[in-house]
Amino acid sequence: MESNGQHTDYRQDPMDTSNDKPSSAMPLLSRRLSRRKLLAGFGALAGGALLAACGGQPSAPASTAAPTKAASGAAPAPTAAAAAQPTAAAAPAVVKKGGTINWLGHPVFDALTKDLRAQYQQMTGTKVKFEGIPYPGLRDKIYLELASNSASYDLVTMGSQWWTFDVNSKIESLDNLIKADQPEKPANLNSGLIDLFKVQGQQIGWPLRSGVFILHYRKDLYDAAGLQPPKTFDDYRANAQKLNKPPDQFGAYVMGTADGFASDDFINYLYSFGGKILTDDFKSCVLNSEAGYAAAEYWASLIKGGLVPPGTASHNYSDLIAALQQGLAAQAIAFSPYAVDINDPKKSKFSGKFDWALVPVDKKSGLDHSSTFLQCWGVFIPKASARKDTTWNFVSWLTNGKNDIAMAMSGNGPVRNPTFDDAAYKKINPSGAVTVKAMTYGNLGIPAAPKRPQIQNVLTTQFNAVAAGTKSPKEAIDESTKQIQALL
Amino acid sequence: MDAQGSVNVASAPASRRHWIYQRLSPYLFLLPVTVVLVGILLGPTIFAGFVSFATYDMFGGTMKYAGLQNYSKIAADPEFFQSLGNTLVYTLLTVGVEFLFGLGIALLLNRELPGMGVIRALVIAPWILSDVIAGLDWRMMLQDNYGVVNYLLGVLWAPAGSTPWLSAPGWAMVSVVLADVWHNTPFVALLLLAGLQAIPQEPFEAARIDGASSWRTFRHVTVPLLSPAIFAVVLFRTMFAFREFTVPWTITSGGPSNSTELLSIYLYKQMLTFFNFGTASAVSVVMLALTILATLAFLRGLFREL
Repeated sequence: MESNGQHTDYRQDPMDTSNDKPSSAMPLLSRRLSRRKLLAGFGALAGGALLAACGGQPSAPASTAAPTKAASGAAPAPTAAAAAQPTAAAAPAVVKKGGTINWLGHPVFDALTKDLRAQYQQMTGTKVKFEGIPYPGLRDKIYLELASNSASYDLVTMGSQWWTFDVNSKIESLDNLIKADQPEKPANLNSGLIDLFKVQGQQIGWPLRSGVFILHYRKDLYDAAGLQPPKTFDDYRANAQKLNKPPDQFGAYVMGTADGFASDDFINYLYSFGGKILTDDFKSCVLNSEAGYAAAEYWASLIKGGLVPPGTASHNYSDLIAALQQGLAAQAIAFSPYAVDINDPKKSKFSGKFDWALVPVDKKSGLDHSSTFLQCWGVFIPKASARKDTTWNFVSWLTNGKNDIAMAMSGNGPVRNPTFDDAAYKKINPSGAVTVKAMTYGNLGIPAAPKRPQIQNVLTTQFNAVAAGTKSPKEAIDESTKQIQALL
Repeated sequence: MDAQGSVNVASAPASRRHWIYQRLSPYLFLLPVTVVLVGILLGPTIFAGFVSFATYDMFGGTMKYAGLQNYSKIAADPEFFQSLGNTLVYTLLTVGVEFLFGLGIALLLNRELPGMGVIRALVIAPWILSDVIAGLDWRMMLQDNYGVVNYLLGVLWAPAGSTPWLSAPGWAMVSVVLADVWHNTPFVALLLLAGLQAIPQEPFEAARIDGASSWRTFRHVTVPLLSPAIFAVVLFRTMFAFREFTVPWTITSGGPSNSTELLSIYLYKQMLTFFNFGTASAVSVVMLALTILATLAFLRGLFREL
């Protein structure tokens, strides 16, 4: 150590211990060494951070880095005879046991499948890790994951109502996986739901949670007033007027929020009045038909006429369920799985007092039955997943008959027809017969046209404005038609 | 050469190394954070500027030069201007009200009273909550039919119990401003409290000796000495309010009739609902330009004060 003061030694300070012999326990604490190492460490850290930021996708686990031919979709198509054979024996051959399946979906599936995932892990050694993201951000997250060819998730959950065809190139076709590992009793699966996820003959998604808009009504109030379930919208209004006792009880309920529920709600009226949004070739908007104007006028008249609780422009599905559970609304056109919530004695004041019917039609439409918004959550396997075969095995198992009932008992919308007839399920959701019939007549809501999200935004913005009273129904239809046509 | 000389000759290279260390070490220490900041802030900003002149197909991974198409698209979109107007109203209202409440709270908290530590902790509580939780809480409290706010108002005066907090355009803006004020006033109060506690006591003692009233002391001593903190807090809050997203989104999703759709919500829809990356990037560039202009104006005012 210098002590002549000719220059300031950076090692020369009152705390300097560099001349002290470093203890054997702390050899790296020598100041000279530690500075160099510290700088080198920072350099390495910065370099590492840069490399991490610029790096590609995480590499697949070694055990799954080389998917089987069947999983990669490169396997030759089985012969007709082979395809026709029971495939129970083929399934275990392609399925890799163990490891983890990463699943991204709506939080509702976390609770619904928690026990089943644990059961699957016990059976196969494969852990299914679920990550839930609330509805508004889920689509964004999934689309970004798919667009970036991320292998972070092996399974993603999308709704038929917002899944768009532009993501198909990033999703694995299930056809080969199904051939190699067939689901249990495929004939029992609701064909309408299966078809929702078919694109050009290819099955690219698998139904997991179904629902369709039906009429939920208070049977006790109907009986007391001597009313019958409505066949036409005129009947529906007449019934609503008779049951309307504001501010404690309203005759009907309408959802009108700007985050999609205004259009989800209105669509049921539109199709049941005989209207539609686009022509079948998606080239023209036909919302401004006579039926379209009539449906919009009717929808708005429920709000203006005071037949629904005030505040429609801010009412979404959770408000609707609460209104039925609390008795604020005597009836509502709503998603079928809500029947479980409004019939649950722990949650609803009027458990056991509801009944269900098909949504009415407009008598001028000439329709035999209504056509309402059919929604289904489906599961999809990203092309980038390194565990496609194992993931499909899980999906196939999860949607078998027994598990469909188990999930339905927890509030899920079944995807297999026999579930609706299950005695235990009927007890908690007696709406099954009506739901199955409504599913048969259901529609996709906003057609799966290329600009589907924009079309939904136009409709929901315009009908949110109708609900808020800032636009007339005619203005909303005219403006929607103009904007949608410009998108096509 | 004497012994000392030989030591100096021997230590010359070491001395040079030492000089290099002295000159370089600050930059080396700054290097990692600079690299990270450039990587995560400047890089994406430049990229967004670049994308604003292009159309980007997310699934195809292709980008095509589009000139000013994205800017002309937003310039022709009435929804953009409605969002801009909403954002200005929202920013002015939230920052103004938060400043007034925040200053009042900071002046109260600056007093030495028993239990002040607990009171300070309670005052800060709303700020600790996440934006999403705060937004959802307010959505439930302001719900037209079941909300506790309408219930309490109805108890006090029946007609007030049916206030359309979330379903009428004017009231919806009031609601989102109210939620933001509740959520962010503690931040303003905290910064102003720090500013108040940094003011020396002498000017107050001099004012007291001169017989100045409380108001004159506040007006001519507290406010001028607190002005750097005031500028800083107003600047921060203006920047944050201008780009606010979560609270209005969770309460109203921009409705009804787009009356609470802020620029950030408009951008979000362009980016993640429609996947119009070019248009969304153009909106983000406009937002950045407006924020920089506001910041420069504030900084000019701040340095003039100093």
